[in-house]
Amino acid sequence: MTPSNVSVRADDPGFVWLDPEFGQVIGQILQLRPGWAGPGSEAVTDNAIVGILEFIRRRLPLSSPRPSVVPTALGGLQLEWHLPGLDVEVEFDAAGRACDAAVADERRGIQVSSDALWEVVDDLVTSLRQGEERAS
Amino acid sequence: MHRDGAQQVADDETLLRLVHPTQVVPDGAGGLRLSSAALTFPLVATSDDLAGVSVYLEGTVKALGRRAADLIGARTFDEVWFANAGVVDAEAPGGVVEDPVDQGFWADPAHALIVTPAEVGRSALKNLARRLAPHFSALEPSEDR
Repeated sequence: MTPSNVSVRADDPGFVWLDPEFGQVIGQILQLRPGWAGPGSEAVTDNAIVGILEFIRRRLPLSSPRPSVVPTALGGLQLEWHLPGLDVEVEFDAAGRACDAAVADERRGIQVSSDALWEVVDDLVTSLRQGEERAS
Repeated sequence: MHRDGAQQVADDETLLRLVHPTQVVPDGAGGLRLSSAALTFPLVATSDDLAGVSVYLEGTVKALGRRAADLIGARTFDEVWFANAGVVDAEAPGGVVEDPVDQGFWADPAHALIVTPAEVGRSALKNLARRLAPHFSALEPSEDR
């Protein structure tokens, strides 16, 4: 097993919860070895770690409460928030791509979940990238 | 519909799920709950069109002369969470069926599956896991149910 190449410096001043405790959780997850969740389960990949950190930096508002970081048995990670009347999940696969998301917000009357949503966004981004190439 | 002769599990049975502690999260109300990630793997094919998530039946565990808490620490899992079979059955499209296996584990005869159509896709499986997760409670090591 190759040791992870990811080094997590959890000292971003933007998020109060991006602290050593958060780094410790990531460190514990990186200790998981293949088979940790039963036969066939995979260790969490570096790409998955990078995926959630990118998501946190680029997408989350600074007011976001601390998420739980949960490993998935297929080498990915899941960010979760469970608060009174609010459940949010974003799953990242072993390649670090956001592959599934769900929001259940009682106050706003919203209950949505989809993996297709992310496919559409990926397609859109890919098309726009190609559009840039085509325009040049 | 299911594996040959598979029996539906009675509604008053208790389902026991082996859980890795990294898949337990704060519930936002001062307690803990299962992450949906704890209920999506392994997905065991039961037929061409059905698959299931592993659980153990407390009734059979007791019939084997063991306690549910004896499952704590089994294999790589440090926790056991439990739920009423009837509640889970109402949420799972294929219900809960007995699935005794022979894999060298003392609880193999108590193995069962929460069944879902195999073709529903990963998102549907995640949605099922999200609905089921809040119904599970942690089993304390000293708990003699």
